[in-house]
Amino acid sequence: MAQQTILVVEDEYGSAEVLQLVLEIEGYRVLLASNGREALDLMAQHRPDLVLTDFMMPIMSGAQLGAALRERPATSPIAIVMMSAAEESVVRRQFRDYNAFLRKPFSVEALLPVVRKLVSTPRLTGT
Amino acid sequence: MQIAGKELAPLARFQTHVPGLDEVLEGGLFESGVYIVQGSPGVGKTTLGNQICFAHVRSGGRALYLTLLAESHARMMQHMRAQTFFDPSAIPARIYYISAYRELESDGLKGILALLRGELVRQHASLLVIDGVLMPSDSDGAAEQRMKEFVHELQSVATILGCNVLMLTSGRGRSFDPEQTMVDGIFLMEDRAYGMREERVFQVSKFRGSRTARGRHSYCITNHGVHIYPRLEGMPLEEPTEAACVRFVTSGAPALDALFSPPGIGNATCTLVQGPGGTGKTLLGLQFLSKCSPEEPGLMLCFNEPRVRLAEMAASIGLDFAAMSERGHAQVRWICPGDQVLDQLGHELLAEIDTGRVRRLVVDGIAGLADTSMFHERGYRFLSALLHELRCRGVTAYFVSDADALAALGVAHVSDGLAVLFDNVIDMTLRGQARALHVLKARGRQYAQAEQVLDISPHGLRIESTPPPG
Repeated sequence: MAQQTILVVEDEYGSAEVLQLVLEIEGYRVLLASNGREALDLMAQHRPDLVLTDFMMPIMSGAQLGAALRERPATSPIAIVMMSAAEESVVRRQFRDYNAFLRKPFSVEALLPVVRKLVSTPRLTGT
Repeated sequence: MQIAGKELAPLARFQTHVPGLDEVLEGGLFESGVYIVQGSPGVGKTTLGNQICFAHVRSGGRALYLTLLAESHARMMQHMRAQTFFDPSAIPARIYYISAYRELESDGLKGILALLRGELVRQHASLLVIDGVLMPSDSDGAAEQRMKEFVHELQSVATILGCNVLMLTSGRGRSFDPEQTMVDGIFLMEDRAYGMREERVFQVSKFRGSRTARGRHSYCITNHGVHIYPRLEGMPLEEPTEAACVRFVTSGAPALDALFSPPGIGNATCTLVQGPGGTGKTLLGLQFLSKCSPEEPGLMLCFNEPRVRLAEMAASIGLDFAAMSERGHAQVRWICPGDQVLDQLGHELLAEIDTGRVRRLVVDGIAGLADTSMFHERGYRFLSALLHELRCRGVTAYFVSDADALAALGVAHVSDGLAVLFDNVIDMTLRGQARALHVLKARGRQYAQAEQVLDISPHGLRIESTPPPG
């Protein structure tokens, strides 16, 4: 089975590093981007199985990234996990079409089941 | 100021709404200014930065909070959630948190500037907080030059975009050199040690464009955020408008009133009631407070006796303490012994006086004020300013003082000069089994100079001119 790829989009260096470490230990290949724009640029060459994105970031926010991914047929099926220190209701006012929400700070125990479930379940269009 | 016949408009102020800070700055920051807040980790820079952001967005502005080497946003928000100013609904629409550590790492300060230009426009931010700015070391001239360029360019961006900028830095133990920076102001926050105690102090090290209240000012951090208490004697004093000794109020004891001519205590004067323990000083204060009325509300600031004990003492001279406080004319505030902050006590007392329109005040006693970190250094000046504020407010005040208590606190030197500060001085002593009362001073007035006998009974305080035995 091919190694699954997760794109972590996070402007906070420390958080991104820890997520990369944890996910690589779990056997995933991890790509890092520090904002939505960088993530879209990376996705021109890579097709991740899951996008794990922060909500508040410079240049392009997680909500804008999510909307851009859903707009494009090539990226529309990719599962999105939104992460934020803000309440989910705040996030949903800007973008609702994500697959899971993780309220920061979260534990590895909370993260991994969500990731495992989403990368093993192909996203159905429109869900 | 005029240039080629055109008058330059004064720079508008940006109010921080941090209690005490705008007062210290005599109106707030200046619009589109760049300010540095420097202090060791834990002194409250992040709380202050967030507090100013939330106050700014409450008044319709928008803020961008950028972190470099600072705690994670999630952790920061967990801490801020406990603060009353924190409003989650303001995030992200009005306050937007981003990190630029990666830009700092890859492109240095220029990378941050490039990011900031775009983000300030994108977020329509009128306030920018940069948290975790690293100061270059003394030996790194090139880094110092880059920091100067960064601040200079930041200033240009702030001016063009009409954005106020706060840079929060720990300073790595060295101070930002005011001469070498283009910043509009530098504020220092620090913990100062007083023996085993510590007190937080705020200082304006540099401020362009206006006077400030100079020197160090105490501040506290509570769940309402940072609260600065400007040094009372450092604030501009108003000149009293009421002539002294034109109105007189009763002390509550007609025989004591009769020791002065005309009878009574001068309105808006401050009286020092001094003497060792057990001479009846607190009772004299309670008697004074018993004459509070809707027209003359009263307040007793009590460092020693709790309310229940005061009630017992009042009953011993026939006063109904419960009725006094229930009527609402006389309030008692008991101050918990412990690490109190001198200027906090002073400012809170004055605020309570203003709110309650207090006209009769008893402070029992000065030793409570003296048991603060800063009293030893500046207690005398503090008291002088406090008494001035009371007189300006038309408050007639009693301050109880016990020289033994002051000596025990190591501030005996203050008790020696106290009489100079007060308008009236009443000395109380023990003569064998009897108590004696002696008016030592009544500024600008005639008074009976002979020692009096003070008799305490459930019928009240009785003062007689018969010389006490012994």
